[in-house]
Amino acid sequence: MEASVLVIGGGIAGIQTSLDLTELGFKVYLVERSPSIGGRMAQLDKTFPTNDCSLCILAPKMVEVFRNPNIELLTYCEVKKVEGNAGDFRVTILKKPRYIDESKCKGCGDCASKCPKIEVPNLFDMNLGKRKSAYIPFPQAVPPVYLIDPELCLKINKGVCGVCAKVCQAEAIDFEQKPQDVLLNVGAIVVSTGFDMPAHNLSSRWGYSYDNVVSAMEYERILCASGPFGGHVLRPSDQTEPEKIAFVQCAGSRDLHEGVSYCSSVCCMYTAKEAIITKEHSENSKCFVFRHDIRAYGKNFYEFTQRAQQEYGVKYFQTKISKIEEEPESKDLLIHFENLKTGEFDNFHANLVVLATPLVPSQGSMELAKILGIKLDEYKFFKERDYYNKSKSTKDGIYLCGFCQGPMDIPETVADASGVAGQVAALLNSVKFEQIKEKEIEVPELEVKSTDEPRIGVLICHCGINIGKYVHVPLLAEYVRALPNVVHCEDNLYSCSSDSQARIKELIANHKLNRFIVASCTPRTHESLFQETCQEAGLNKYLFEMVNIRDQCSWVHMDDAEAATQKAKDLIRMAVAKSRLLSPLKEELLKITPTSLIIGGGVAGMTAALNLANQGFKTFIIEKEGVLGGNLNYLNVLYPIEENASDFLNRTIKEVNANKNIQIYLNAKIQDIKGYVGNYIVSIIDSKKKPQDLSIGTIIVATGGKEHKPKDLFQYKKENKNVMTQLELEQKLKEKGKSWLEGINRVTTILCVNARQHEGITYCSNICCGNSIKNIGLLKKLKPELEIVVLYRDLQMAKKRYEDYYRERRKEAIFLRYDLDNLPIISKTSKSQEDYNVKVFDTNLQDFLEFNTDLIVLSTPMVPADNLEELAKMLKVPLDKNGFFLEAHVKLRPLDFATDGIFLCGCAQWPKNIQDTISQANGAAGRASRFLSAKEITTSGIVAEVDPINCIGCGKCQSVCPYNAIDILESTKEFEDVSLVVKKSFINSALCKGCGTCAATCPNGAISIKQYDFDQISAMIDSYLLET
Amino acid sequence: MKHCYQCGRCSGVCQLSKVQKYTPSKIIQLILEGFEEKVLNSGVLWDCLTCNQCLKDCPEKINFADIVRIARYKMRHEANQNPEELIAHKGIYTTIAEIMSRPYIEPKRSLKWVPKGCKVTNKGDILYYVGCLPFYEYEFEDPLSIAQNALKIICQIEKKPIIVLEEETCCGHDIYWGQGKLKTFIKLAQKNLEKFEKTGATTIITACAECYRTFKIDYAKLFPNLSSKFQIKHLIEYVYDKWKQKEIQFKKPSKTSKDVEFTYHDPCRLSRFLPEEINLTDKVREIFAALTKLGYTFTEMKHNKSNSLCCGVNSWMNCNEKSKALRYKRMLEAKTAAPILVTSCPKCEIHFECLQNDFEDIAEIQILDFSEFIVDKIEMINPKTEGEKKK
Repeated sequence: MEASVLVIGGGIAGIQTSLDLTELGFKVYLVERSPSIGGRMAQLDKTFPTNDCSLCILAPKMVEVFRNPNIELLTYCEVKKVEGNAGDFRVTILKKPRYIDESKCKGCGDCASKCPKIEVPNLFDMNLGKRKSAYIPFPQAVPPVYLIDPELCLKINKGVCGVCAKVCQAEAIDFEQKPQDVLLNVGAIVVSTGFDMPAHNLSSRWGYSYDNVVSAMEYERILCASGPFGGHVLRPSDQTEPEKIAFVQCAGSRDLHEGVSYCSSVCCMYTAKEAIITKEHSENSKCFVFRHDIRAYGKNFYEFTQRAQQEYGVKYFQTKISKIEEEPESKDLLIHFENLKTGEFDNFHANLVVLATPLVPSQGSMELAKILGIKLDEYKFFKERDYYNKSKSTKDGIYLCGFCQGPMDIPETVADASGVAGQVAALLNSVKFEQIKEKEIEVPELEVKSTDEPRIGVLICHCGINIGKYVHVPLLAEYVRALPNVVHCEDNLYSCSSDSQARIKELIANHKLNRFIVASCTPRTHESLFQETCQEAGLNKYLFEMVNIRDQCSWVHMDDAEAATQKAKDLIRMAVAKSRLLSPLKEELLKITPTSLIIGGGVAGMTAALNLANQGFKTFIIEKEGVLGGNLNYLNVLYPIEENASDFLNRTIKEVNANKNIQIYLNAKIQDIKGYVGNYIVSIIDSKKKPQDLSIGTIIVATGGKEHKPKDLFQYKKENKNVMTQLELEQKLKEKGKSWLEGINRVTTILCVNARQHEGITYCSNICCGNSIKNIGLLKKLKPELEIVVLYRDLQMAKKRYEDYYRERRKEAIFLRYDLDNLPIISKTSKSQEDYNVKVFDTNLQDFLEFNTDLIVLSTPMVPADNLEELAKMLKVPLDKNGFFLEAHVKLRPLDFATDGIFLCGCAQWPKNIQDTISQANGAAGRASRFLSAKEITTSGIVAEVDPINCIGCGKCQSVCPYNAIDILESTKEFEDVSLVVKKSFINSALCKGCGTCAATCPNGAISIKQYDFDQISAMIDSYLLET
Repeated sequence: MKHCYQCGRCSGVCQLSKVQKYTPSKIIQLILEGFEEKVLNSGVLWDCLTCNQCLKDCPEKINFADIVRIARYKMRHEANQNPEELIAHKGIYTTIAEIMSRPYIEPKRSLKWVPKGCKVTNKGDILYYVGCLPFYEYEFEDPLSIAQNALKIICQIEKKPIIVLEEETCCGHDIYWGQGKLKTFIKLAQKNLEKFEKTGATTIITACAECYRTFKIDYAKLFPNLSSKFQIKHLIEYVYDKWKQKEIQFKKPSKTSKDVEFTYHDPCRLSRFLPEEINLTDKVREIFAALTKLGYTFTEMKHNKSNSLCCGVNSWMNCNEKSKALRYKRMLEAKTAAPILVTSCPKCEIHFECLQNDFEDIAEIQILDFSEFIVDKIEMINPKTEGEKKK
């Protein structure tokens, strides 16, 4: 069995799963077909609903992959051949020639700047921008290595030019490179090949051939500050600012003519985001959205679409457009559509149109499926083996992750990726850590005392001509040499090269240096490299400082070399001033108890427990009820597979009971939680009211949700037997046979009962539509002559197969659309009879409709489980405004809490269906097991420190700490004639991330951050203002 | 119909809706909600052009024209509506078809129109189905030219007598789509089939878009083994196949040729009414591409192939000012494209030519049927002479 994993596809799915896998103890080969990892997420401008810059939150992860010694990055490579079986695959990878030696290239870009200006469209910019033959796809590309386009290169094609080889001082250009085969042995394979958004093969109605009709992905590049128009919203034909921008949703999705029968699931949301960002870019622009159903499938997504309308004035039309035509002279667009509200035709005039084109499996999926020997489904996505576990392909040992398996958004993909990592870890459990490299540093650390005279060494980098062309480096070096305490300063071509690392060690030894500074590019990518080098030379890594003279000087002051050089002088002088005051810091080792506590014994909890137990960790499930299974106990049949919920539930419970690593506490309650990551003591009371203390390493919150009961709404009252919620209907369907349907001829289902309101429950709980649609089919099966009427607002059938499932059910009922302004009115026709009158304003027909019905089924949203506040308080984790648990980051950390060691999954986070719940549960287990696998973790030396003498115990620091690392503890202080209870702040260095928020908040200056303390920062400011 | 999710695109693309209020999506929703009777009683479905633009664009592929056809049957038979005043030409042509459907009435049609040099028979291999063209002679300008040229083309290629029936009955298209008279249609179909079988023909060729669709699709629904008995070909298909089989080639325009620049109007029955695999819209364009190489100029109109605009009338229903507006729109598009408008549906040609009497600005456009257009551009490839040339 091999302790390594092949990950195919370097988008966010592949990145996240690779990072998690290395932490779980596996070597990863990450293969990416294009020259850089990052995938689609790297191309996005912002991400909803936080509107973070997409690349800004992704790039740190990309760099982490690059810097990770246990990930071998194989970019510009493709999988050619795969043989073998789970545990032992033999893989042949084709490495395409870059014509630039990856090991030598330093990413300075000298080759590209001198490459002749023969340009082709840049694929990364969706062909809106241009690139030369020598290029890097985007500035933040990982690896930061250039490549040469053989079709464009004059040297390769015509044997002339070759100027790049002459200017490349790293001698990395190699025109002789040939395609190469790389052979690997791996234990498991993860497919994460993502999606494409082709617009060119759409039918002509969408007008994609016109200059000013762009796909949403192209529009992301237009919006992006690093995009082809520098972040100015300009239209392609004449590069003027469009005033009226129309966004057309479902531009090909849910359309049998376009061959895409499913809903792409993310378009409603990114459209709202793009409209909002557009409004933020230019106030004068007016945004219009042509939509059909609003499908906001995710946490607080629906409210985001409402914000677009209410706060940003984005206007939504509910209609599928007829066609888009161009006005030849102005290149403006005319959108023909029927206004469904008025029944009138309209021509909408827009300056720019953005199409939400279908998201389809990425090109080459079919070939890859053949190579891997796995199956595709009816939509050409990779087929999952089992509805309950979408991560497993049809072949053992090959896993599916992210959009290549079916439509999903970024948080779902990230959760999925962690889940896959957890499952791979269970598969390869017996060999984990066998191929993991841990860096052992053998040189003993030099002792540096605060009284020692600072001896500072400085290395200044030219970065080819990237810095050297704009900053006068030799002059700079001469200046630095003259600064006090600088013992040695030199400049070189590439400070990051391996010979430079040797040189740094040599300098430290020869000059007895006790501080070191490198002035080069960004610490984001390179600081850890230099820190490691210092450590290898025996210098504590916190005695290293880095100055970014590339981004801050040569890049931003390209047109003023003198100012750039002056600024570089200032920055290095300030770093020298700080460096003098640095002291060595200690990193602590934290032992981790290899056990996990799972709160909640529903599907989420049981799945997480099984995953952890299969990885060999002792796991405790604590459940407040007397049975395992949670909400699944009340469900009848699951959709879209139409299997009895109890079958799956019983299977799972059996598996959980049989697992020796799982201990279950039913009818149990948590009393108290003490401690921190790796070292929790959880006090519980078991079913016999006996208190127990459990030693726990990590905690997973899987407390689920419950159905909202719409008291007194739509005749939902105790005395009205035939008005019930969906869950109550489920119970009947499950237990009562069909005799109870006697005398019932017409059933009316009302969707969005008390959901998506202006006030109260404002969110869409995502799962009720699917459940209602399922029950239509079941009712019809029991009694085919039943007439079923569905009153709906929008139908949330966004997942893979759901649209088709809904398409089939549509035949079995009458669907009437209503809106929030005109709620249906239900009245009882007589006191004694179960007969109701329904009056509804049908927005499709724009008319009132009245009919009688015998049974009313209300679809209500899922709400958080009871008493979560108490639990949240004990765990010291937050709830969101709706009362669900709040994750650390809605996009990239959907399963983590900000507090290390506590995770969440399932409906505790947000209402979700069983498939997503299972995916998340595996993900949470994967995340939790990272700590458990490590046995011990190293804390950072950069943490906050309280000076107890100055601390007045006000607690302000505790209230702002995002990581819950601060406790305010009371102690009694004895004075001569009085004893006083005082409060003091205590910072747990295991949890502290050194962000400095507490230090900035402390009114008494009692908190300082190591390596960024007040003296050090003041010294830098003084140096800037007072020295020259 | 139950797949309809009320996106409203049909109502947006509907060609009729550009000249009157007409919303298929709402009609569907009304029917689904149980108001079928209301829809039928309103008579609104007599207005539909059955051009099938809505099917072409429906994301759920709902066949609204078929719904209209069935509704017309119900409107006539259940709601007792008789749309006499809506039938153009005082209903004469649908009456003729109806008479022909009677069991003991057999037409004896004059074959005087058969051009000299064309040998016809009543037994053989290939049947040319002329359709209603001879009946039009009394009302329209030279409708027989289509039949004559079509037959000329076939005879020139086949060099053997071609079946043209004296007792040919109407295909029933207008009865079926326009009048909702399903039984009459079935009677006509049975009569035709019997007659075809008697001749021993294996191939049936027609130059009419409506006859072609009717035989190929609607008869096939009634008689499942029809396609194994007969090959049904539109003249376009016939010419295309012969060209691909290298039996014929196309000629260069002469210096005096006046029909060098042309455009093409796709009839709905040859585009939106056929399954994609038949693909006549592309086949005819392949022929035009070959002509373009020889020196002709083919220009597409803005709306073409399955997006082609409607000629404004269907199955002799609703010839009125709204229909004229639609026709006028199409003619203006043609005018910007080329001086000659070629089509392959005799009805389209008749409707366009009729409008030319009303509007001077479009009167100059020459309207030709495919048969009339292509007849003098075809020459035989003689394999022997070819071989000799090579030597």
